[in-house]
Amino acid sequence: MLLIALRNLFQEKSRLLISVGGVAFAIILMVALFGIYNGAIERDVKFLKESPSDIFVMRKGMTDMYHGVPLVSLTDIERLGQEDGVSKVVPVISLRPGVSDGDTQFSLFVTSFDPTDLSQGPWALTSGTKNITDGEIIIPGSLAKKLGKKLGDTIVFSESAKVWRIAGLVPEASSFGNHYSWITYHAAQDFVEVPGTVSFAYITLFNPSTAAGAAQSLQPKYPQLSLRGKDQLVTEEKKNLGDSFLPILQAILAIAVLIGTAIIGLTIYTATLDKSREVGILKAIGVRNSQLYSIVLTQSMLTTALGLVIGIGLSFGVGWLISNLLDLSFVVTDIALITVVGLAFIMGILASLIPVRRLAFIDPAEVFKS
Amino acid sequence: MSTLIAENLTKRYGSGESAVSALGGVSFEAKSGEVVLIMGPSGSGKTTLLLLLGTLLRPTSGRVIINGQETSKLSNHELPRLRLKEIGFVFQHFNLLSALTAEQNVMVPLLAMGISKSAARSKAREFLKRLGLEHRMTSLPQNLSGGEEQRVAIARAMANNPSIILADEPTANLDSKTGHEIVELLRKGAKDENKCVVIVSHDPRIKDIADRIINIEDGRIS
Repeated sequence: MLLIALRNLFQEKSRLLISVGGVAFAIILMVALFGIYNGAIERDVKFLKESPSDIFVMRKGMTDMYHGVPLVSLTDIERLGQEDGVSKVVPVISLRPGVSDGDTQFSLFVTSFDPTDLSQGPWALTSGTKNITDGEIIIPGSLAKKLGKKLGDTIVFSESAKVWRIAGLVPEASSFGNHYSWITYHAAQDFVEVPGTVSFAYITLFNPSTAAGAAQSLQPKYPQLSLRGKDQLVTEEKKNLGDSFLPILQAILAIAVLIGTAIIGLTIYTATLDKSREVGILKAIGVRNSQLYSIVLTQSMLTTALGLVIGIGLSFGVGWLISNLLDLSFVVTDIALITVVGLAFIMGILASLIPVRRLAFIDPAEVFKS
Repeated sequence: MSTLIAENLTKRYGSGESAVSALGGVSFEAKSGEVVLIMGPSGSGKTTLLLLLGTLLRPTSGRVIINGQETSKLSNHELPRLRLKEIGFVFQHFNLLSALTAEQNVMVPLLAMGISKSAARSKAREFLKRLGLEHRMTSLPQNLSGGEEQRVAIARAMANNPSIILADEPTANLDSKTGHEIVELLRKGAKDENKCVVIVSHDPRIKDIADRIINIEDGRIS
């Protein structure tokens, strides 16, 4: 019966094209959603991943570096530096200054670094230098583009009226309202409200692979602090973001699946209606309903498979456009691809249900009427 | 033993006062190798009779017996299998599948029987060759003449080697000469391959090929 399914499917090429295009559109929508979602999460944790740290040190009770009042004493940082296995402890001051530029208002997430230590600070810049001085700032390239700023231009922190000269632009440094920016540790000290404290600290170990165990063994000695391995913090951050955005993604995915199902379903249904007489002939000859169902299912699955291949292929083009035109990261994981393939085939099966129902009611005796 | 037995067949459409009687108590028998021509004017009930014989309709009362098997005792799941194995249909409008070539159309009942694709193809080719269509095997129905289409339909009807061929007005859409060729093929099938052929028609030009003619009028044998 595969023969009939194939010949019927390819007999009307324009209909097949519309149907495959519809499935491909739904697939592009799904892959793009997954790509943007995973990309956003990966970009959000990029700051953590790229930080020169095996263990993050925060005040007790804090789950990340972006919220709450960050107070870690320099005395504790000094003590941590003496612990076995610890190679280096880097104190970091972070601030969230508001910035006004004309009608545009936004806030930065600024962290400090020591420009003389090349391991610290932002990841590879697109332009400018990491070797900045106290009045200089490194900001996301996408933010600079949005503001129409270039290297050498200035931005002003609203509350302090402090002026900063843009000395470097860093790629992929804006995510979920966080515009990651960097100033020198020395310049950041002007913003410390409680003397002798910093916001958080990075610990590097002689043996980074022992980070989780080291954080666990150091924790009891520092009950006033929260010590977390990098992997643990990255995992927690991903989970928090996932929990926040997954329901939205699921809703949009459901819409994409419905669109795809409706398109394939309508196409196969109209094809079945068009072929009602021929289905009647097949029934009269003695072809069983189950064999007719297999024809419809095969047609539906083939349409889905073609749409899937084209859709996934085009999705990577769409991903390239998203990455390059919208400054969004686009990451398609194997799990996302497997999920899309699975959803597509569920879509194909669902789409064949209505036509199959229609087949059952076609009366072979109608074939004998003129 | 008769291959096909129609026993006191009646068929009523609808119910109550609006019910219409299409067939009222038709009985006849047909044997292998015999060509039976059922004739009658439009609306006489001959197509209803053919549908009942072909198990595509269930009679209101009476029985259809095919090779000793009472069809009314078969379920809706069993009837397609019986049709596929025992009955070949030839339609007035040829009713070939438009997306399939001549060869593929003949392959359909064979594939539905579960025969392998290569065996079905070789059998289909053999039938088409026998009917003089070896040069048309890969042609789509739209590229065939009416006579060629009907010959493909006959090949399809005979593909599974059924014991009964039911033909509904097989010459209605053909010119006189081609129509005669077609009924000759059906007669040849009956005689050479020992099939029971029942032709429903109101075409008097084909009377000469029938072994027996049954006239039907107002749902009854006249």
